[in-house]
Amino acid sequence: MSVKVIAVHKTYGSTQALCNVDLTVKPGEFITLLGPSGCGKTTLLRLIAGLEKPDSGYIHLDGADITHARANERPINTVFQSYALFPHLDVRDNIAFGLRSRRVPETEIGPRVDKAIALVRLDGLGDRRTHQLSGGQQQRVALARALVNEPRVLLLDEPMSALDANLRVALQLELRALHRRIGGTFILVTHDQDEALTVSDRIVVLNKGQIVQQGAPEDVYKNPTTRFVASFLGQANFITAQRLPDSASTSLVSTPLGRLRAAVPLTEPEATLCIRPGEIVFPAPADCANRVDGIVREVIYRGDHQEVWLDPQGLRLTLSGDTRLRPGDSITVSLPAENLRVLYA
Amino acid sequence: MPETPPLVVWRGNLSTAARLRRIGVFCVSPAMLWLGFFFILPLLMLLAIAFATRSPSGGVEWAFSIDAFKRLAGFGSFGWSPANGYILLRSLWIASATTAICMLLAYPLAFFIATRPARTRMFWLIALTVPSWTNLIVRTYAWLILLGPESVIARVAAALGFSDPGDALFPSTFATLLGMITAFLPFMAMPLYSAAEKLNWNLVEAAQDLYGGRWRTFRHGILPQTSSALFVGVILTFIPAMGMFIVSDILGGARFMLIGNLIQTQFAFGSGNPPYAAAISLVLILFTLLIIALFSRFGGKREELV
Amino acid sequence: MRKLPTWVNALGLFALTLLYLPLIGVVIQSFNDSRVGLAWKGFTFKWYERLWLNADIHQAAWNTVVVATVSTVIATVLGTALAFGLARLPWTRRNLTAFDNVLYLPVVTPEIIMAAALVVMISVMRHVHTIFDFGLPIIIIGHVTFQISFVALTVRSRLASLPANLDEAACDLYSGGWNLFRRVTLPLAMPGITAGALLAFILSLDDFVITYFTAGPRITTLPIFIYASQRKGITPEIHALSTVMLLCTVVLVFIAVRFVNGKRGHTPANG
Repeated sequence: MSVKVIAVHKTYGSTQALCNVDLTVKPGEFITLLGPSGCGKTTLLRLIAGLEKPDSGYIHLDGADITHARANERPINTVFQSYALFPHLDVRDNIAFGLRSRRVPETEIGPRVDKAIALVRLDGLGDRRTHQLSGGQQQRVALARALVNEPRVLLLDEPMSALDANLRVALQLELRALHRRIGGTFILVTHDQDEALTVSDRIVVLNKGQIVQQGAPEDVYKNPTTRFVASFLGQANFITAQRLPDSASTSLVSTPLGRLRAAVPLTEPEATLCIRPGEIVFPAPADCANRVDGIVREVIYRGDHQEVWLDPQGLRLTLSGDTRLRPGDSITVSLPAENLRVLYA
Repeated sequence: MPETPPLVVWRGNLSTAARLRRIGVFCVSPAMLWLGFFFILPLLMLLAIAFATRSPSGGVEWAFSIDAFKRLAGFGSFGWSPANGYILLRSLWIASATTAICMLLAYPLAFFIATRPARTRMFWLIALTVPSWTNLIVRTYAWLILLGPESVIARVAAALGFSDPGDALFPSTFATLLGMITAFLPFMAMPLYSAAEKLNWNLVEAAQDLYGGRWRTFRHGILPQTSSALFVGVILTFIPAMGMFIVSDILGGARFMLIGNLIQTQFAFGSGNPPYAAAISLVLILFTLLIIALFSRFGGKREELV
Repeated sequence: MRKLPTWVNALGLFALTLLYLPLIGVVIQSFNDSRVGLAWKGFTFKWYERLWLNADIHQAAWNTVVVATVSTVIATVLGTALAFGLARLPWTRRNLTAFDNVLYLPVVTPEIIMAAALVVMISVMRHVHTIFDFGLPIIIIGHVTFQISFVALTVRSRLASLPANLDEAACDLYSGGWNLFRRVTLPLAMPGITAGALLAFILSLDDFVITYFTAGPRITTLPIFIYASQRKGITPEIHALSTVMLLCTVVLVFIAVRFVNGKRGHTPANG
């Protein structure tokens, strides 16, 4: 149930979709391929499914080379973004499709379909036509249709993108619970960072056809290695920093906001400091480091919290509760050193 | 105070229902009257004549008789002959064979064009349409050239043992079928192309993802999505094929009679038999209506006929 | 871009070639310096010269063009009016379906039935008025009858592709009724009308079945001429004539297609 993608290239016409991508998925893992549109995540998924062929490179499943195996020869099943349910078949026949293709005896098909329907909680809807179902129900049929085949790897191509926000959250949790219950390797593609954070054991961030960072959600969120990852997963403030000439070993740096103490010393002359809006402290405690004065440019009401834009540098911070700040107010905030991450890319 | 007629808003314009109706009738009637008088009326006359008698000079005598139908069923002056039955069967067989072969060729053709890059697709589409606009007589007699005794095709057939060297490949059923296919292929391919262009390929991929082989993928991924287009194609092929006589006349030879040829022979001046021709036409019309009724049952989309 | 298996593409191309084989054969033979037979004996224009000098063909050509022009004009006017009437006004669903059925009838009816019906009408009504006798007038009438449906469907499809609230926008900008028709609806429908007219013209030029049965002994058109020669024995002049006709058809189709698709780029996107 492990999947290995080795040195894979894929070009479409003049666009390079994937460039020398290596990926290992451990058995039983739930990983998410995350990135903006056009980053190659869907291409990678389709390569694993067998719906596309790489220009070069290999794809291994449990050690076996499946690079040249056709889609219908791989023990891998896909949940498509548009669900791709067969409109001329009812729900049960849709779910049974893969079983019938492989000529599983009819006596076995019935119980397995029942189990799949129960697993995705679609009981009672087996005889409906697909167009009579709601979006969420259709998605569950697509899921059941894939799972009933007990695939070694389950691929999901932005399965929630067509659903309402509320439904999406509920289904994300269900998906997570499902994974825990049946085990199996799941690979999900999405551009929604919240989804990635909710469901994954490991997030793989892609940009422009390459993997830029991968790791557990908390890891990638708290320790981004590039500006791209920092701003794609969560929000970030970026401050350019330069190493002070006299001391290479302290973490004191020179920035447009004055001298600040970074989380770690700089190993290069220039870098970018990154701090998330929720990590900036206001009001600044009396004895803190990294005090910054600023003038409030904008206050945006967001329901349970407020977003405050500070000049200089357009620093963004989030504050919960009602702070009664107005544009034009003069305030002092604190940037805790341990949160001023150093990024070189 | 006279009551003003209620105003109605139609497409942004304020008007009265009566005025809209008047404009509508004004626009529509000339064409409808024309069609009524020169299309429906003659058809009704045809229907009537089928029950009339043939006059000795080859015209029509208005005396009710079902002689025409009797003759159609085979009861000629020399007793019953199955000749007409054969003609009907032959027409059905040729029309069905033509439709089936066109289906087999039209699918690859339609999908080939639909998968061309957008820039060249228009070119291919025009390439598909142009032959259907050319003169059928020209297209058909051209096969006489291609199937003549010295042609490449004839020589290949001789080499393979299908015919004797020096023989033309016409008149023959093979030649007739070739001519029919050439005539009708675009009409089968065009509706299929429309469907192929709008095809949801995800369904095809889903079938493959779920272990479907070639036939299963086609049967579940492509066929359901193209079924209404297929029906349109069948209508545009089968019905005209049943009434076709040009192709069988030129390529099939004198002995190869289809329904259309039968009607054709009845229009020779003097020796023709209008009630008989009318009776045959009636049968053909019934077939047409039957197939159209079948078509409506399966809910095809009429717009695809254009 | 989906990639089809090679055998599918090959079969598709084969099918397309099959369609063109007869046409190419005729064109090539029209330049073949050989009276009979297939063997290539050299390139020549002489069949075209003979064509140019053949008076019978001139007469047939003249008849063909006259019929096509007159019938196209009549059919375009009637068909366009019909399309506008159907598309632009509030009919009840029942009426609309009835009109639709009548409209599609000439399209699906086999031509030979239409021809037979016309012949029957001729034999019944020829004593009433000479217009109902075999000859050019009835040929024109026959052509118009099937052209109307065709023009109406083409124009209607063009009208249907226009954004639905164009009229409302125009009315919002103080234009309405006849003004609206003249400045907005008609210009936008023009490509469809022209395409319909061109295609109706082609249909008439190439029509054989209806013309053959309604022409009578004295009138010939080009398709009838070719058919008759085919019975007597094909001369290479016929190939030349056919090539000329093919060329005309191809040119006209190209022009019609440009009208339908070229202008479409100017309409605002739907929705």
